[in-house]
Amino acid sequence: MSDLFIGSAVLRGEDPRLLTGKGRYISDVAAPGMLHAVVIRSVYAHAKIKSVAASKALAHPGVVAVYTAGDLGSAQMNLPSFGQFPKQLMNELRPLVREAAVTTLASGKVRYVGEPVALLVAEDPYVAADAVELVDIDYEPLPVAADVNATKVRVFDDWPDNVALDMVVGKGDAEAIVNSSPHVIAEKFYSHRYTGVPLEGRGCLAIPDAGGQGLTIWTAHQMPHFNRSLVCEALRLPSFAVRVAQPDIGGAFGQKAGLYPEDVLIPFAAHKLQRPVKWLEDKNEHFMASSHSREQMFEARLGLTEDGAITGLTYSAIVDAGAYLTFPVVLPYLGFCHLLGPYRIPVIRAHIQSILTNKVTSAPYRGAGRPEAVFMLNRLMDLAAEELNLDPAEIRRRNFIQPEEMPYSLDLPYRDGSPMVLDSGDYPKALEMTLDAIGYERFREEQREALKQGRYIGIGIACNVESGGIGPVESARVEIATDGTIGVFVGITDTGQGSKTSLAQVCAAILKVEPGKVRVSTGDTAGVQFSRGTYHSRAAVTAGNAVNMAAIAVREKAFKIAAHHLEASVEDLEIHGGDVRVVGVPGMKVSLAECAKLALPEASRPPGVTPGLNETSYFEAPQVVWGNASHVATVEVDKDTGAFKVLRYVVLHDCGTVLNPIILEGQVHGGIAAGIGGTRLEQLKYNEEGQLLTGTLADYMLPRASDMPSIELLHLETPSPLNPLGVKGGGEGGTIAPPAVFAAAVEDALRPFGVRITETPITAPKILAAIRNAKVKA
Amino acid sequence: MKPPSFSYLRPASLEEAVVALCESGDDAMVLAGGQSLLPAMVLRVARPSVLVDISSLRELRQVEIDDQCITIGAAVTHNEILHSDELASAMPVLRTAAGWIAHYSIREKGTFGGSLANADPASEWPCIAICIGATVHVAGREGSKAVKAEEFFLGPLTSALEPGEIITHVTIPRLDDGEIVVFDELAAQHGAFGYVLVAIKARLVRNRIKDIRICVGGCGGVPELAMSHAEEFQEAELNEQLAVQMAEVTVKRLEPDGDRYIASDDRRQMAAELIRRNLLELGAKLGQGKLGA
Repeated sequence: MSDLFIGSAVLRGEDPRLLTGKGRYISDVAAPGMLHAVVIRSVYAHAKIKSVAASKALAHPGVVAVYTAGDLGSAQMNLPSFGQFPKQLMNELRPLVREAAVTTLASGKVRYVGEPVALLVAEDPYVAADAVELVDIDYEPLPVAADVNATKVRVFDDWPDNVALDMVVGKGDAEAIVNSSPHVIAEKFYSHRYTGVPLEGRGCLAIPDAGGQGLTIWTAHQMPHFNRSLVCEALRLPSFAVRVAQPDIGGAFGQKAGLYPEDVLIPFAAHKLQRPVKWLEDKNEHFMASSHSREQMFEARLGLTEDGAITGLTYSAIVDAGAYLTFPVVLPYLGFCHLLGPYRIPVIRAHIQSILTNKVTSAPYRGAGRPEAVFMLNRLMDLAAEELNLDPAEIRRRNFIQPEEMPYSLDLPYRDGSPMVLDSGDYPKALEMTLDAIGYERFREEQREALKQGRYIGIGIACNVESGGIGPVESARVEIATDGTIGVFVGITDTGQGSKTSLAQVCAAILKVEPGKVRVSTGDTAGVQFSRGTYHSRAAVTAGNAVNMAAIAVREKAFKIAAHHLEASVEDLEIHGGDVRVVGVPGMKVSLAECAKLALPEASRPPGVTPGLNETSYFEAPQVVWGNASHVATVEVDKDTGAFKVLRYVVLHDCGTVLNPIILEGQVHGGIAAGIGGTRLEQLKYNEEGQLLTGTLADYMLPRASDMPSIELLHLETPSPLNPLGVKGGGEGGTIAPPAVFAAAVEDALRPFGVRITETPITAPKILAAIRNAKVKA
Repeated sequence: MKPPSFSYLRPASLEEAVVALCESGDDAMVLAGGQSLLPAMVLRVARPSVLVDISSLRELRQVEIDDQCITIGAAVTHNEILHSDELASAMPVLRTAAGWIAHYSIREKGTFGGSLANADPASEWPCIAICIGATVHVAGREGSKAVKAEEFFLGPLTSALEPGEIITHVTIPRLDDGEIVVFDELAAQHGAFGYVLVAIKARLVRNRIKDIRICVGGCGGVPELAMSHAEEFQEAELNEQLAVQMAEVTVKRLEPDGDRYIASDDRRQMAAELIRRNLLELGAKLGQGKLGA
């Protein structure tokens, strides 16, 4: 593996453009004769739709159409769910999974405030907004399942209860082993509801082709190829008749994965009306109709020996799934998988449930079930340390899976059915490096001194593993134009994370050109035939390796052409600075541009070489790869106001080979910012009627620069043996541990009061209440 | 998030503005910085048929300081107050409070008078205005009137403004020797709506309390002037114990609501702590000779 450009801090090529306002987002893309759509949404959390009367709206000047479920024909469908267990795993684990699919438009009944009931299309977005108020929807309100304990209300009428997923999974006789352990830590934990808030909302512009046989769809979506399949199914079009492509995207965070009703509705309207139709989500809509996440409750028992070694773990997890099940097993099962490292848990038993409520559907948001589980696991470790009178760092040391045990089989299947094997990593070293950086022992002294002065400072540790790079396959195409420009085409999407630059580096490393000479096209179904998109920290792993393979294939073809042209042997050739040349013979060379010309149909190609300097490769991932992180933070808590400030934040992140350290740094920083927001600020709150109380950015607080500590980032690189580049996922790592770290640090600071933090969010009022409760107990 | 259609008027003078407002019917509204009104309009919570834009009226953009009082025009922006050295030197708390208001872009557009007219109980200016004994000057068809800040706020988002009236300016008495004003706030993050806001104006002589006003925001429908003179604390020496006592007395008079983020008891506890701290801080400031005036 050449490392000419791999691992160097190449600046993102798109930044000058984006930073000077020259980005081109969905809202900037227009087409002649374009119409504007508004989705009309339920104002009730649970209600029967008795009638929809659109005549007044249709009479309003400028209104073109109003569609309800009955108007959609084949486009009124059950949207597919994602991340289901494969068949063989279904047979093995035998979960109860009830189908609770989102339909394109609600028919008969609405199940959350914000659910799409109708689509209105008008000549102008302001006219459309006015006309929405003229559509008369008659609802019969029903009692609301405001939380998972609502027993009398059925979200789906014909179900016996609201349980959408119920399964037990594990290994060994965990119950008996935990119960007979010398120490058992039993506690309940709660992770609250919050979600991703990309600055650019969802959006779509669908443009019919001349002749009405296909569509071009501009969309802000993480999975353009899935999006295309859905549109083709809905509109009964062949895959090659629909192109889904993307301009710049202003963030996605998992929330633009999966499929939403608008992904069908807007193409439907454009196809039906044979005019371009645009829809842009607004922020209010975003909070009430794009997926939510994180709301999960746990009840756990962790068994330990006298020495603090974990004997086993039993727990139950309940996901508040919202109104539908779009990712049936992903959130709780990913959580389960992430409890099996970095600490050795010999036996485990999990009872996992997802329960429907009349709220927005839960789906993956950056971390996707990992932050909740990692919160529980690290909180249990801290509580165990306290019970055993061990230092929180020491109890972790005693339980790490060791580097010499790698690859370490966990004897359980991952959610895609592949075996779960930790491929590489040095968890003890990762922790020691963070502890050294923060000066752990010295901090304990400072803490004692501070307490004498009435200051409450504390330190928290959280370690986690992080799966990434899920398969099965990702493809890439590399093409060299006759002017020597190199094009890379992938279906994964760059939603702001810098994939274009990282992938350019991978290609440049093979073809030995400056990364700036490589143009990367992402998220376009015209680029490659197959792609699964960007999610599950998979772009660098799967697309990265596919680009590497395709670049090698193109180089081989260029060598054959050059060898023919130079009358040399392929074995004597090397590539350098945009030229293929004969080793040791100055002047015996041919440029890549010339090679591309020599590959034209009319050129004299070597025998057996097809036209075009252009290769497509497929990377097939054998299993996910496992990165890991160690986070340590110090905080100071104001016991009288409940406020706390972060003093230092040190994170070690190991995602194998680092393609671009500055991009990775941005990813980790952004992840931690998201973790800070989620832990301290962001809350999606509903009232008993299922009305969202935090539907604007004035109510839903996002982390800002003033909320960010200075982050000290350390790297450890244990390359994955499972792919040629040695890379692992880097996109979600920063987000996973902050809730656990802050809970630990605040609890540590308030140890003199005996405070126990088992829930997020961690806000000033919650801290005041925790101190009060601890005082009552004492 | 698109507003219903409305007419937009941009009168050239205050007089024209009053006429335009009076003649535009009951659902006409005054537009100053628009930082509360425009979000309400795009959410279709506010549906004015006419907006009368006063943001660039010269007569509303004046700042004047004389020996007796400080005058701030209604259309002066938060950032203009934040960056005015004259105002900061005449009354430092104005700069302190302006710094707490929302975020840069909002401070750049939002106005002093607009904030008072909006009468949000958790906003900075209403709390400050009551504490420092400001007077709100209002122009209407019948002429002008002056309303004491403590009588101006009637409830959440409700003020003494009648239809057709426009706030023109606010007058604030200058501080005497030995007087100081402090302001502080607890919020989930800088720029967010505060859990609790506290403004305290005090006159101390040799660390003994001569007079004191404590106004608490965010703890009820209007900022609460929970202590308006020295009461039983007249001549008491300001020390830790007294600060705790005064805080306790003050917060007993509050009836804070809980909301989705904070319970009423936590608000009360935060208010007490904020009062205690700021009493000690103002004592320390006066002790160091950093007079508020």
